[in-house]
Amino acid sequence: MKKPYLTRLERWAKWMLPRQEADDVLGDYRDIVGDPPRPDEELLRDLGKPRQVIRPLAQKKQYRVWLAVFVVMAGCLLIPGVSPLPGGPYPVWFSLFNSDGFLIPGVPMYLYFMAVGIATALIWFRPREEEPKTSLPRAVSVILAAELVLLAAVWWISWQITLYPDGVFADQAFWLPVLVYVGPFTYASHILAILLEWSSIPLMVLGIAALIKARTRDRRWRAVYVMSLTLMMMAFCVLSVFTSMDWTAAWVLPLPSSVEITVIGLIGTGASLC
Amino acid sequence: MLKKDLIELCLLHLLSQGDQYGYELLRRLHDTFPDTQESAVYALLRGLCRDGCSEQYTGGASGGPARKYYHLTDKGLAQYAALLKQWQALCSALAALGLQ
Repeated sequence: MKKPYLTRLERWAKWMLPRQEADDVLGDYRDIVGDPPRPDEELLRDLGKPRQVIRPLAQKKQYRVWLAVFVVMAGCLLIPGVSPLPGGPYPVWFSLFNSDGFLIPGVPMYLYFMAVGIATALIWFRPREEEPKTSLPRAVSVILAAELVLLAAVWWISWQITLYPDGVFADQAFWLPVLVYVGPFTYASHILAILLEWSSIPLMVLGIAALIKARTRDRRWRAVYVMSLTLMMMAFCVLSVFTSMDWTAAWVLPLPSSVEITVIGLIGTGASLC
Repeated sequence: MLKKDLIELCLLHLLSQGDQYGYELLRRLHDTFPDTQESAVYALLRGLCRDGCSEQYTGGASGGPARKYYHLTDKGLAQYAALLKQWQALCSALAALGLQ
């Protein structure tokens, strides 16, 4: 079912215009639409489609800057997100946790994506002075809580890998039967690897949706974007151990990287909620 | 002179007669140009504000919510004079062709 005309108009206004201007335009359109509002068919005829109404009001340069910022933030989630998937950019996946470094020696690529994505979200959606104080949207709290639980689960796996690094987990890892490593992956560990690999799809969708909500609803939705990026990197960090051809070298990776990802992610999420 | 310029001229003309309530301004122009959508007129009105040709302020309405009024600036007056001159030149050119 189509949303009411004013709702669609509000979404387009908040997407295409800076917040202050969008509020101003919407105030004017509430006047124009009338109270009670004219029927939607009449509004479509007299005013045009919501997107067409807002488009001439947007200043091209400002709108393009916003689109560029959106592409950068989405790219920081999507490029690493698709890298381990079939047909994904293998060089990105290869460099994601490779400490040989991509641009700076010793700095793996995941840090670039996290730093750029989180910093851009924090700067672009920074609080404005004139902004009224409102309570945190309930959906943001619920999603963040669920993501924190998942983060703890991935952390636990990462921790167990570090505790029992020996190639053969089977004897010691009674607590985690899926992590049985005997030469080629066992069926169960293979399932876990697939789960970690494909976890990026819902996290990418959630992250992009959060960016859209941060623009059109409440800027604190950026916290969900930051947390999705963090969770995805944590899942990939563990996945990189599963897919490494050099098992003895791979096991040393999770703990330091997990700590880095978690610290950056949690600080970023906390700052995003301010 | 494009239709857009003509509508802009009409907006400036109405504003030159005194401060106007935004919605009323749109209704009047929509009545004059019924095939032009109100949103297009509104975009022109906001464009005038952005260019500094008009300013908006909120004024009280008796018993109702606050209304937004538009006021012509000096820059707007100059723009009005320029567009009026163009319009008059166009009218003269058309009259010279025998088109009244």
